[in-house]
Amino acid sequence: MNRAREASSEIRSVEDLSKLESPVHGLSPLSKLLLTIVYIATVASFNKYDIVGLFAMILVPLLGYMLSGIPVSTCFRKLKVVLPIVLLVGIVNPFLDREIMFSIGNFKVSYGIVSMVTLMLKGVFSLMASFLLVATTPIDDLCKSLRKIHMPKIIVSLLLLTYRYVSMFLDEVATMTESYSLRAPGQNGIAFKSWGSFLGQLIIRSMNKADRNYGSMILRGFNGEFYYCDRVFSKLSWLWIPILIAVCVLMRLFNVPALVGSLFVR
Amino acid sequence: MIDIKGLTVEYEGGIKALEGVDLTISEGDSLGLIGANGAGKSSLFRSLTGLTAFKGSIMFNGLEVVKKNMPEIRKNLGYVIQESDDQMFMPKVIEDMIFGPVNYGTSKDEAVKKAEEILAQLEISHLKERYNHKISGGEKKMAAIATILMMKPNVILFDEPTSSLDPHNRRTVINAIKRIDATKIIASHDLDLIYDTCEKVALLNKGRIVKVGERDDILRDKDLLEENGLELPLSITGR
Repeated sequence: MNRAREASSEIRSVEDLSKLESPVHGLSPLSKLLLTIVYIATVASFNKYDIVGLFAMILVPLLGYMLSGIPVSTCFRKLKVVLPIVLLVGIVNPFLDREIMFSIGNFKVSYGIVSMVTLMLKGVFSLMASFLLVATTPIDDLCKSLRKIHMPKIIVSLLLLTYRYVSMFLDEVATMTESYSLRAPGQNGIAFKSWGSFLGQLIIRSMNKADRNYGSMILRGFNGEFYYCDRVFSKLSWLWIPILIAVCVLMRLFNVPALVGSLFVR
Repeated sequence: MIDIKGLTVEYEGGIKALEGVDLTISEGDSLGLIGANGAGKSSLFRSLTGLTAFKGSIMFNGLEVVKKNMPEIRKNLGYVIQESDDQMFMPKVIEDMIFGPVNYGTSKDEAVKKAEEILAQLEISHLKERYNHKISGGEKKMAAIATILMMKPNVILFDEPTSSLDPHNRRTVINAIKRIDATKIIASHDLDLIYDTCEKVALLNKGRIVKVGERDDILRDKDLLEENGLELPLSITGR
């Protein structure tokens, strides 16, 4: 399958995931959004050398994945394009911070290596949590939550339209690359000299399509405010939020793996 | 109901899509808007719906087609766009169908109930929970018509409703259009469709109205059609 079409279908399949049923899917979107924000803020606040304490934070998204029935591997598969970028974060740290922190046998681990791994873990954990939120919450519900916390209408509409439009844009790219490759047999990808006109055409076609879509929306009464889902969620779904926030805070304040380890090692 | 006077649409570079068009459409009419490619059919529809800037005047139910009147006009004016993909922008058919009514203040539950009725009426209830990108071209066209019927418009504009449909789907769409109880304006160069669904016809060529009249007066006039880049409908020639 064309890579653009594959990407478009990947995005749509995330939307399919968000419509499954599980204890996590059934929770109030706003509660999930708030917890995700708290979780990411907690993860980001860890000291750059506190790799052991940070590692315990993986338990929160892992619990979410287990309860939602979405395999963790799905997250990594869907985010395979973004993950390398996240892993590049802190790549220069080992060269800047060479002081030795500890040794494993003959292998000396510098502060730079530890901070690099910590940064990578922070990125990966944040991605895991964000993906869990998106994969268990339909975009309309998510946007409604953002409006509830007074995110400006224009930003929320932009987010929703971008989310919707990305798939259409990728379909447009797929159609163009397919028709290109049909007339350029044996050519691997799009020739460099064609990139200018290809991108130009893509922009024009996208703008035309966006214009037609927008026309169709305003003809049906769109005035800048999307209606979002009006599902009613049980208030009980808020009960677990203080518990998980407390877990996050405790993990931040106490080095849980070290405490657990001290029970077994003197 | 619709009164168009001196309608002129000019695009960038001075290209005139429509020039001095006068046309009156009465309540209950089924008007076929015919003409070769580039005759100005879509531009006329875009002007009527306020999507394109124009010169001249268009009155719809006594309201002038100007920005401040558009919300009221669009409540009563449905537009089935040529490309269904451009019309269906929500993920599922049902979500697309309730988009309009909910924007106009109908509750979601009520809109869903209405959508179910319309889907049943068009015999496409099976599409309700389907994703727009996973249905066929014919199904998409029927779903697009359903989204417009949800608005309960007095007037519906159909832009090439049967283009790129196979004979079976084409017939399904034609039957659906015939069953719709509203004033209909159908732009197409599928003259068999026009012959089947319209009582009156307006012939456009290069942005100007050439003739407006009864269906048989225009669609059986071989010379008139050929002078304007069209051919007699197959249902008349019997070929």
